[in-house]
Amino acid sequence: MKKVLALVLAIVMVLGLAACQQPATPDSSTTAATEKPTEATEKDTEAAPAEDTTAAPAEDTTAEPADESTDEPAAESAYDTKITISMDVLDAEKTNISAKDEFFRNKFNIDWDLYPVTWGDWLEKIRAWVNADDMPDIVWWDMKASNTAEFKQWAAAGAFREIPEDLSKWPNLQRLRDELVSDDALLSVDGKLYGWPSSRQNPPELKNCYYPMFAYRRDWAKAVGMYKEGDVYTWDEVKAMIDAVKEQDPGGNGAGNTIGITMETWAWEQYQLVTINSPNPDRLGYHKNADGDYYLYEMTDEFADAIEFAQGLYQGGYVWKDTISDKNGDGFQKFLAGQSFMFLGNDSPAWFNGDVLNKMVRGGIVADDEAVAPMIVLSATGDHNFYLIQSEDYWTVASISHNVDDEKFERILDMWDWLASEEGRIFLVAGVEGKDYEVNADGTYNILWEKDDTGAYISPYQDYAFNIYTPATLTASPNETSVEYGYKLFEPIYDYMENSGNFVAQEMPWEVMAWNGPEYSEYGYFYSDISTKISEILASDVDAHEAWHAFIEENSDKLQAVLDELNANLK
Amino acid sequence: MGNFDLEAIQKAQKAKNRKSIIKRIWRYKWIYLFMLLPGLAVIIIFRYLPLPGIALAWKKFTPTFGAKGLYSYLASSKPVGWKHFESLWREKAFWNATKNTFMISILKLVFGFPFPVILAILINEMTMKRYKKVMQTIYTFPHFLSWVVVAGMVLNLFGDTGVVKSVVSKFNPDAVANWNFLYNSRSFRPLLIISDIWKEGGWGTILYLAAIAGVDPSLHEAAIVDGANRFQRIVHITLPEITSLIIIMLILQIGNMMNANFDQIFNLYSAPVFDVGDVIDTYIYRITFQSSTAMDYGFSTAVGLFKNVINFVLLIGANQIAKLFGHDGIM
Repeated sequence: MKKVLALVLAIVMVLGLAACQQPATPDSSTTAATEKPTEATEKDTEAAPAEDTTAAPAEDTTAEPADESTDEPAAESAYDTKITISMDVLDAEKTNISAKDEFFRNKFNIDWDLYPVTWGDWLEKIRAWVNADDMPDIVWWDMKASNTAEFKQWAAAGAFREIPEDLSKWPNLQRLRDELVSDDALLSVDGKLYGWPSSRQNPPELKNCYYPMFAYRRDWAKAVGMYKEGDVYTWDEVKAMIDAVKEQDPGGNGAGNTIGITMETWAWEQYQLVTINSPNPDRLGYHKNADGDYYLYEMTDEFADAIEFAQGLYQGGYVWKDTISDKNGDGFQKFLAGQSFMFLGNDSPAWFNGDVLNKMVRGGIVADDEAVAPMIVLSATGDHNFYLIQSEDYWTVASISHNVDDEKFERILDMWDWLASEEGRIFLVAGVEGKDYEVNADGTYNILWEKDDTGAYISPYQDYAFNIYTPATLTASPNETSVEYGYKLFEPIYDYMENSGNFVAQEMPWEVMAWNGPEYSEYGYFYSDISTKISEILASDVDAHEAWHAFIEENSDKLQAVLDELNANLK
Repeated sequence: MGNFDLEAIQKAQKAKNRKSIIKRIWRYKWIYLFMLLPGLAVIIIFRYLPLPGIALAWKKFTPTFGAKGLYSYLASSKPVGWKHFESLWREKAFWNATKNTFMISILKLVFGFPFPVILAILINEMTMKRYKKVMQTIYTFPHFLSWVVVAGMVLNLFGDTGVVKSVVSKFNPDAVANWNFLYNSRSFRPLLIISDIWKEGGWGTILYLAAIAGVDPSLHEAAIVDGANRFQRIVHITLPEITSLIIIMLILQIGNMMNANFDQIFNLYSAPVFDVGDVIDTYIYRITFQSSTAMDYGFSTAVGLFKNVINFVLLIGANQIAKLFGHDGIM
């Protein structure tokens, strides 16, 4: 008996090792289930401006699950051979399970092999997979312009297949390629394109700007008698409002328990509290001075002023102090729960349509749909302008692994081209013809989803934000299924952006971002070091100017090396 | 009856038992060898196969695509000589991390190491068996919580909206006006030591309790007859009997000094306390995976190699010192 038991135990131990090995074609739902996207809430809104998440009302939770057993029109495939395509995805456990997914799989005769990633480990995993040459067929990542040097090194070493220069076979991709700036500037090596940017398709008035701005409790501002029509405030007014809200407690949190400002984890890491107050439009990275020489804006006195101002906000108790260690989006949750007055994040119309509408308005945290609103806070120093940072004209980049054969390569491009077509757009926005929408005689669409009490569509695909379809392109908003709430709230903001002389969009320094010299590749614009130092200064009572200048001095050798390189090559 | 040589009989019995064990092992040698395989495989795969990668410390990492072979990246990566070590020498953050690693490890050694020994002795002295078991379970339980959970508890206790601040504010509102416990250089290291003792102290008693249980009861009986009190028996019997184990544990802890507990620090630290809390492991992690620029595996490898060389020297040194003082050591 003992012998048998020992043998069984030994076999179990040996076979146990097999669990470490990745199966050739893992079941996507199984692999996804092991990895909970803990940080999804933290950045869920990041790409929201152009996403179709706007069609996700609160009552979505009661919507009929769109599982594979649903009786929907099956797509006929033009492809004889079934192939499996691997790709990394967020929210993998929610991906590839709906009727819409089944339609798409059938249409292109494919199976998906999903590699789960979360917001927190996405970049780390991509770096490990690519560097170890163990990447999925489609390498999809939140590549920023600052990652360009790394991307180009991989591309130059042969990590990815070239996207053909002649895209005549894929006209919709060709159209996007013609519109985008980033593809040539950031994703090409020696004139060859190695990554496909997912176009934001932003409306022109947005000037490709990002939404790191404030949302606030307008109802509390009214309650303390400090509300201003148009939601445009100075920092003095904001500080006075926070003091009043803390004292008068209109939210019923208990005197002194209301938090002034909470923010997204990334907003703290990207020192948005500092940059949002810098008085100069050239707020980040390297720019040319009047003589045409490059300088790093972060080394200027103006930037140190902005740090000092942010330190005053933090030390003065206006900002939630645990923001520093908030890794789970607690600041975000505190705003949704009615515990904080202002929230700094990606507060776009889609964000209002999603989280604010569902959790605050419909969740009963606020009394009506006017209670929470986007807010313009004018810069504390300088000319008191309203600044937004111009960003890349895409959100996420997808590259195709060098291991992918011609058949699979063409299938992927076929898929992306279709998703970028009008048929693909309505598929992304609504779903499957006959099941989710009908085409009217005039070419418009009739959405077949049920509506809630407010007249908003109840989407059966509410968890459909960032997934296998995103690499092709994002969809323009608002669209046929969008909820009006968030867009109405933003009307005065857009109006201010179009008509006020105080709105400044910081232009993207494409030339520097695309540069791939050795010094710039190694140090970039010292983002990690700067972020760390700013956190350190904000959380302490040191003299901000002194500490900042000492930091610049410490790094002056490295900084000078980068400046010399830029001046020698790009001046 | 003839002469009764107890010692000889015991020796013979021991020799017989040993022979019997060896005989049995030999008889079932294939099963034993088979059971060794997984452990051996783990050690070979994760400890020995990556060893050639150390060469990256003298190279600029360049990934290879499509090349076959485990170490193809070594061939494609160009040699850079001692560049990474020279950079490391100049890097202020590296020296800060090295200093913090030593400081935190020494503090843990001074305050954390004696705790399980003392706790084990106290638990052993308890006379009520049920109470003893309950206490042992309570002390051991925190070990099974991950540092992610413990860090969450610490944040909820000591954070800006934490319980401690709320309680303190009830008694002395002025004291919480500038509440800053988690992001304060003065309080961070004590926080690390206390949370480490709370989490691991109870678990650490298990070995010592086992050693104490092995102490010959006749020694205690003789001491009681001689009039020794409890404290005297602890000092003169229990402690000397477990000294060998304490020395072994001390050597192992000294040999592990450069590992200041990545999990704990990574989950508790933040940028404002990097000056006192950033250790070599967290530094390596940041420069390797969280850098805003391209990854530099070569530099990370150089830092890791430096750390392991120091660890190795400390281990050998501690072992030799133990031997100098007449103890067995581990080698």
